Formats: sequence, structure tokens, C-alpha cells
Amino acid sequence: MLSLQELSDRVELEQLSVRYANAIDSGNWDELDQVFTPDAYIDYRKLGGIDGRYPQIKKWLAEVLPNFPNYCHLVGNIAITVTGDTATGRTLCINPMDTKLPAGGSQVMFLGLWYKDKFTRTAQGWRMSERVEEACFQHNVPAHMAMLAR
Amino acid sequence: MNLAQLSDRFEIRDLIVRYANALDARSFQWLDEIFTPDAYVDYRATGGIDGPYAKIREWLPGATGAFPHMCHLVGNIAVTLDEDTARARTLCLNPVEVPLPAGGSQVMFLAMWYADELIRTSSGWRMRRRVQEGCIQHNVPSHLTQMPAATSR
Repeated sequence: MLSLQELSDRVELEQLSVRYANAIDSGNWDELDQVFTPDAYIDYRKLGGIDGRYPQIKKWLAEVLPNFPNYCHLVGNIAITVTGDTATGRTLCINPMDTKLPAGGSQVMFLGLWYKDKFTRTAQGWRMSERVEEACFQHNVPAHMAMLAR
Repeated sequence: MNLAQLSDRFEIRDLIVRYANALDARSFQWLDEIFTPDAYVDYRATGGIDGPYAKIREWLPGATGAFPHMCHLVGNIAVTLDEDTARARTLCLNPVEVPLPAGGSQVMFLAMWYADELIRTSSGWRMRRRVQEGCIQHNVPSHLTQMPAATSR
């Protein structure tokens, strides 16, 4: 049977992935300060993004994502393994993105991806110290976005 | 809800997620720790087979091997506990990339429910019955003729 501590860790770690998605989907970039450690490593290269440390990623997200009129990150299948004060996780994300077309109008592409995460317990609670994307399916990607890595 | 009931719910949810991850990571050996050895599995609603776990375990790698990418996003997990057994109903959204005969590929979107029966064993909760129930099918390539038509309700 899971102990109250194990259940609590599980819920807090799951909430970090939900909080990440909500911060990004609402454009509330400062909220990400409560998700990542200041020196977290993040790798979005599998879906055409950059990799780097959290401060650089935060700045990049705020520049790039407002170009998309609408998008959401539905996360699920959150699998967590806790080892003392660190943890690893794997989360599935289905990510519809409304993408502007060069000739006007927009088109919704559907991306599937996994997040491979590392977590650390800090004085302020659990934080993500690493998040690496792994690509799954891509549907209805506009031709001009063909730079999406596979 | 007491701690034991909360724990059961989390363990059952983990089991349902581990199933999805086993398929999506093509780590079919993980399924040995998800199903009981005598489990019954029925995939006929999405064009698959039904039978005892050993047969399903042998069938799955070949049946999914042709798909470059797929994922099984599970949600709406409804669990009913009855001491050492449980029932669960789970919704699954399942995009599958299918290679096309003329080259290239196409992503089809399937949705289904899993109706599960679970049992508590000395190694934790296990599935002893999983039956698919079909929902939507979108963008299915025409060459996939084994896919049964979505049944209307």
C-alpha cells in the first residue's frame, strides 16, 4: 500500500506537469518559475525548438508561442518513479496548435509528444530539473512548418 | 475515502497508464506485470483479436510493429473498488501513424473505452479482463480494411 507521503509526492509531481501546461497555455510565463529549478535543462529540439537552461527557455517561449493564435497541451499518462528526494517521470501530451499560414488564415496541426522529466525536492516543494521532449505523431502540419524534426 | 482506498485507486490508475506506456514504448514484456497469466483480452472493436493473455502478448508486437508512431492517451478513469477486486472504465484517444501503400503515411485517430476487471494479487493489482468498446474513427486509410465500421449507438 502507498503511504500518505508517497501519495502526496505523486499528486504534487503530477500537478507540476499540469501547472506547466496551464502556464504555457495561458501565456503566464512567470508561473513557470514555480515549475522549474532555476538551472533546469530543457530540450524542445525534437519538435523544432531549442534546448538550454530555464532562463533562456522562458525567454524563448514568450517570444515564439504568441505567434500561434490558439493552442493547448493536454497531458496524461503521467508515470512517476520517486527515489527519496529525486524522481523521474514520463508524460504524454497531445498538443493541437493553431498555426498562421503565410497566405493568410490558419490551420490546426496536431502534435503528439512525450516529456521525459527529472524532478528534485526543494525547500519550496518539488521542481522539474530536466524536461526532454520525445516526438510521437504529427498530423496536419502546414507545409511551411516542415522544419518540425521527426 | 481512507488511505487504503486512495492507494488502491492510485495503483489501479498506474496499472492503466503502464499498459499504455508498454504499448507506446513497444516494451511488451512490461505487460507480464499488468495482466494475470490467465487474463482475457478483447481487441475486436478496433480490428484486433481476442483471447487469453499469452495469445495477445504474442500477437501485439506484429500487430503494432508497422506503425511508426502511436500513443494511447488514457483519461476518464472510473474505478469501482470491491475489496480485492475492482472494475474500471477508461477512455482512450489513440492516434496511430499508418504507412500508406503508395509511400508516406497518414495519422488516423481512434477512440475507445476499456472495460476492465482487476484483482489484487500478492504482487499488486493486475488486470484479469480488458474488453475494448469502439468509439470514433477518423482519417482511417482506405487500405485498412480489417478495421470494423464504428458501430452507432
